[in-house]
Amino acid sequence: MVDEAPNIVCKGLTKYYGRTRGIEGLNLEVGRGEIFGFLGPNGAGKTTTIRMFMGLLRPTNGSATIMGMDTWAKSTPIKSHVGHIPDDVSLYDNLHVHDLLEYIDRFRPGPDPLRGELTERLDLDVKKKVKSLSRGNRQKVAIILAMMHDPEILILDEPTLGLDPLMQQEFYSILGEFKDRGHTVFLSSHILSEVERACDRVGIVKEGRLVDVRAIEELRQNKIRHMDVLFTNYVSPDEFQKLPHVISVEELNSHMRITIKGDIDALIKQIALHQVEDLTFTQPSLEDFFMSFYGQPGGQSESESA
Amino acid sequence: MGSPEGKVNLNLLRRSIADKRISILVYALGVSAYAVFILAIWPSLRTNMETLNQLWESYPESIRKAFGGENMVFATFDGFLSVEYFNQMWVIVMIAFCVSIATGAIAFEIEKGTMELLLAQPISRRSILITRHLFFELGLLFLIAATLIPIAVGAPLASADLNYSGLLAMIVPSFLFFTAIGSMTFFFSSLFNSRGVAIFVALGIIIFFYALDILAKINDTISNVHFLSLFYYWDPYRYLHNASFAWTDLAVLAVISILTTACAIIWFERRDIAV
Repeated sequence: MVDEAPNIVCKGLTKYYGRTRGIEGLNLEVGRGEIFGFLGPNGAGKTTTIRMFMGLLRPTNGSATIMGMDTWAKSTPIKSHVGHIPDDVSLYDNLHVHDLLEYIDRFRPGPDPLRGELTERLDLDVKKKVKSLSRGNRQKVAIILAMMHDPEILILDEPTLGLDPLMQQEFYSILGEFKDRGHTVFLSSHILSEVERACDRVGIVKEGRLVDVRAIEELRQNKIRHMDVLFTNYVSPDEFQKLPHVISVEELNSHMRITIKGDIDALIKQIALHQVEDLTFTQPSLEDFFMSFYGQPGGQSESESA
Repeated sequence: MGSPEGKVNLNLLRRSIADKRISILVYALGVSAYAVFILAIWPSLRTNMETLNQLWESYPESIRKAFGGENMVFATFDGFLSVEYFNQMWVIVMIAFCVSIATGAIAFEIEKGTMELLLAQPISRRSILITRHLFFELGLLFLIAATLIPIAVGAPLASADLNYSGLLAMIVPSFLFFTAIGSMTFFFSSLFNSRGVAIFVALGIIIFFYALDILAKINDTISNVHFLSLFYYWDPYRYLHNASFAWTDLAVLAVISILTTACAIIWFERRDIAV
């Protein structure tokens, strides 16, 4: 994936707030044209990392560079190439949306090329006052502010927070177009499905440490999911137990819960041999995900913890 | 478009003016209205000039020192203006302006989270602070003008015997005195994450300076530390009556302004922005 000089490089990046750990020893490279997911539970150190990328926090140790420039020492020139959505969006409430967009626009030379298009696609009313906007609409404003100048690098912290599913879909589509133009996206999230949907690779962070970096395809193939099936007639659990990738089959009242890790093709075909009344296929929680990958919720692999 | 490093950013300056224009106009209206009020009551007071002077002279020497200087002639327009306006209400309003603008410039934006949006743009921290400081100084000049112009225009109408050179001599010391107070507050604004804390600390120190000034004037035992108070360098009666000021006072105020602004910049550039 990293076929040219990487756009984002972290070397031993560490941040402590006094004695409190933010992130520790982060080594990472994100290439041009890549959407990189930074996945971890709340408090794992994702926002700390992003704040160091944005030059808001000075690293305690190590360094981060964006386009070859140190994120602390060269914070200002970096911003010409970066768009950012913070985890907790704060806007100037006294302004109208149009005035806010215009104001931020003027920090860069020339008009922002994507402002009109993004406003239209995200269906945002720019005549409203910022303070009257709903949570979702504020997030739309944050997205437009980050993307309207078509930055080469996007640094996004929980970017779909508050967006309805339709808008999330549109947002992922816009992200895809950024990637197609060769731009780099660093996206932090605690939602596995979001990362899976949007990213090429994912870095998994837990308790301040990067525990793994994997291609999204590998992630898909290895995650544990639960399928709840309601058959019209009785079906024996044994016929699913023997299928490849099936981990366990339980009978729960009238439903059958099948836990599977990896490819679901054989399972779907077996289910299709019967008459099905209902079927739910749930996404795993982050804790399930850590369990499936590392055998324990702490996020360390068995070999690491041994 | 201001350059990224250390220069005034015109976009930010324009926005700051637009955001605070109502607030500054209210301050300007306040200082002008009070100046007009002083002018309006002067004609009735000047007829009792002797009584006023006797009243002033009857105060203990320490009180006279504390509120205008022992040699001040209260029953002149200069004296009356110094005691009743430039040593009291005007100072309070101008300090409120300084603290409000300086703490709003940095600490409030950090507390509210909008500093993160601002710093996501290609503008340096130094440029933000310098631009906001310039905005503060422009506001200060506007308020000084809003105070002095009505006095200059209204004095003949109120039959006030105004020393116009004295009024002109007010401009530079006033600007430097309040710039020093504002610059000091800018430092606290860059130091703290909370506007409330920055206001508390800044006002605490200003009140300490004021108390030290009063005490040093009435108590000879601490008069040798009088120079530590910023108010030591503020003498409106001298400016108005003598149309003069001490260059050393102005130099001290300028040095305090430069040093505290430099400290604010250095601290703001090195600190973490996290609420």
